[in-house]
Amino acid sequence: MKIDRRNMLRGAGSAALAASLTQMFQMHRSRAQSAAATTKVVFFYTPCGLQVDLWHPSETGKTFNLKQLSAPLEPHKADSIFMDGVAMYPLTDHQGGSQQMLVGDDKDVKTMDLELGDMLKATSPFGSLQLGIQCRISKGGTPTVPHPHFSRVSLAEEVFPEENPLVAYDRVFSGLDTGMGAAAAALQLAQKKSVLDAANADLVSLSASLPTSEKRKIDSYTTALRDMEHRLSDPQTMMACNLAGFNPTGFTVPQVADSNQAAYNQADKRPVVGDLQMEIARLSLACGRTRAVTLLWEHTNAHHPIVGVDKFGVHDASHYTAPPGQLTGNATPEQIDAKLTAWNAYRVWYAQRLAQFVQMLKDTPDTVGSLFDNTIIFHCSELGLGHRTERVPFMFLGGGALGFKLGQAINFTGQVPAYTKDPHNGLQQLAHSSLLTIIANKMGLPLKGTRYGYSGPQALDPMSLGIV
Amino acid sequence: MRRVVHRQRAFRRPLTDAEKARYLAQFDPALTGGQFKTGVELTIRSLLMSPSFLFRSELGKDDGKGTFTLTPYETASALSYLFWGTMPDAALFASAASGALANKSEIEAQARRLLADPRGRGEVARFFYEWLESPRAYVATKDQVAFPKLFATATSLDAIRSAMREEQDDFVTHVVFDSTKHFDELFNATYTFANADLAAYYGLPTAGVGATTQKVELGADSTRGGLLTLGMFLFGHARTTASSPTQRGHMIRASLLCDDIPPPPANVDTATAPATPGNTTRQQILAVTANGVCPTCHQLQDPIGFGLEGFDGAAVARTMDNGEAVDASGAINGLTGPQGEALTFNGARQLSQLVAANPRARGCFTTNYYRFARGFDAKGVDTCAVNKLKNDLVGSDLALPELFVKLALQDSFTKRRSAEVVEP
Repeated sequence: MKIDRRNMLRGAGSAALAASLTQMFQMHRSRAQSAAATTKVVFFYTPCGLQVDLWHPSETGKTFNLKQLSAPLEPHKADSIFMDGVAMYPLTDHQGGSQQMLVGDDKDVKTMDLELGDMLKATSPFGSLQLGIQCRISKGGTPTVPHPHFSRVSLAEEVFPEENPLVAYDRVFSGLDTGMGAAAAALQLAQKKSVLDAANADLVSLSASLPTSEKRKIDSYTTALRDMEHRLSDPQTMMACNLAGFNPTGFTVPQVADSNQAAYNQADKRPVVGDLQMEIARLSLACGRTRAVTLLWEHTNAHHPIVGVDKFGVHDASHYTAPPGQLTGNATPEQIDAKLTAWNAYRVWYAQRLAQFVQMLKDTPDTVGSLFDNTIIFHCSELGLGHRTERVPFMFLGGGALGFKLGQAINFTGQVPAYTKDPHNGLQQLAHSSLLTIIANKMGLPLKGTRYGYSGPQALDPMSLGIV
Repeated sequence: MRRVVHRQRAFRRPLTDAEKARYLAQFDPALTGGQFKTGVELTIRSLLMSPSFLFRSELGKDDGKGTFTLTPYETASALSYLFWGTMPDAALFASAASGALANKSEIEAQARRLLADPRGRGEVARFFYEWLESPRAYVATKDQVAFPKLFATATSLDAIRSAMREEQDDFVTHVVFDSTKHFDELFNATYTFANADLAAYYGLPTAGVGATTQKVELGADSTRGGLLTLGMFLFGHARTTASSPTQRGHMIRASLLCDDIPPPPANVDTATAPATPGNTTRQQILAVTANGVCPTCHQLQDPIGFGLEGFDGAAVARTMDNGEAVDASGAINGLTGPQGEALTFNGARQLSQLVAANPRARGCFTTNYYRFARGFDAKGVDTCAVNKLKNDLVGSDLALPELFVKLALQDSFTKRRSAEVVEP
């Protein structure tokens, strides 16, 4: 009987440290960039669903009208695919929905953005990039949100998005020509190499003591160091990239002891943080720093308000039958009206941000066409009809150069086979995993078996759904 | 700066000469531009990126017999992370530096010192918090109509949950460190800990109970007392609008008795229908699980959970449920007492007594503490280590702190085996 020589190395830090390290692993991936126009994807999450009949067009086909909540997307209607009748399978409630949008089932251990990142790191310095806008702060501004919300490496390991836009910017664009001057840039590069060399030397020394069975425990660490090393020595690192104009308002993050109190977590700073994170996403794609971005706007328990809308946040507003500040209980008719008004205001605000991001990509030239033409924007929330995971507002925007049939509204309700087991037994709506399969196909991610696909009777060919 | 680089805290051991040279090199003026502050920054960045900072070493020294013995510094970290959940303090480092930690007598002395420290109490409380799946109390949604006392004010729910956490932490550390220190008191205690708000919420006498959490005697006729009736346990293992004999029974069966119960079949709707007047939670559970394959597993867990029906889904004691009298009788099916008798009971007190007296519960406690301490499920030779500890707790009724110390004194705590070694 073989006995593992276990426990020779243990993670030394707290969960936060482990998460930070994991993030570092994901953030520092490096390879040369292709000169040709590349396909790109942005997963754009907004929280807590919406009133579906105020979002989904009533019509299908190429002639359709937007509703109250989707109206901000009117300038981009011809570049969008609105999809009604899509369910977030297999969830029945919204907890964990911001993670579920990136996997088809629990069998999909790694979320698609990270899976893509593993593949794309061969062609971009950062395989994938996870950016968040106040997505880790919970009620009261203290604990990290308790449910799985983020990209995951495994069922037990999540990758926390970077919430501080200034840190994200520094990580993604450090080493590029930022106008600091050749001498300063060379010194910065030398410092980074020196730090990396020290870590490498420690790794070599440690590895000499490790038996083969233990080396796998530091595989991720080793890979991260190699990637960083590659990035620092990659000619791409020194590629000129037009970063002028970033952070026009001079947003700063003064040091505080509790990160939950940091400037980027303040409710009144959400608009500027959102602007900066979207700009980092745009620049990352434009400068070839990555080809896959996940933008998380808050999380499924979002309690942070938008100034001027209400004081309890979108999660509270989505529980509109409960009194203000409560998730359960019976509200008065006046309270219900007020909550619905607030919920709709939140959703319009998010739709405005999505429209803003689309315009930013449209205005950015790519090798061929615009960034928007070569980028799949996959929008979703986690809820639809009646606080359930039906008629979820999934939509595609962009990717016209990739064959997406833009400028249409589709309703899959009743058009696909019914689920035959719980939790959606009898429901005739498209499983969102079909949409993931389309993204995988367009990004060139090889899928084995039912990865990111639904394995039940709804074994449709996603490429024949009229989306592409 | 040389002093900083020479410090051992980052790696939890002294730096080697090569490491010192490596980090001092970060002060090269070619890198710092002559700025001392920049050198400090680069050194700290290097230290924080090192695998020796990020990973806890348990490599050990080769004994030449296929086994490796932890160095004194590695032993120091193993002890401090076990009993404190953090790095060694100066005394432990000093013990490692002197080489004393190579001896079991010193390991025992340090283990006792660490356990006696307030941080030792905190880590023991954390073990119970994780073992009893207490985080569920924080994510459990409670209905405002079903449990109006939780929503009396805007801060009631948070305040009650916070008081329940203090109740649990103070209760378990009191038993382990201040009272009898024995396993059975965890279940048979006739007291709990509460502040005035929690006492009032539970319906306990509030005379003499202040704003801070304190020991509160419950009386012989109280249904409350022991781990199974702690607020976090009852609150977390319950439904949004009601109690849950299934969840509570499953928790006791799986985590306190270490029996495996398979999940329900994939095509079963586990949502329980809304309560109908005149039907207790118990009656509803019995009705929906009476047919098909359901009883096979439910009879192993629900009859245990029925014993806690004297408490609603928000941990408040009750005698009526949905307009009907509560029936808290039940049984631990599949297990028998020392004379082969059926393990039947009526109410939480009797259920707790049965669990406390059952050898399987003590064995399960030991297994779970071993998991907590070592970070893996025991198998192979480690099974022997767990069994030795089980024998101590079951056969000798070892005091719990002694059990914790004994774990640190086992050979398996300081020895590692090579993957190439084949067990006979």
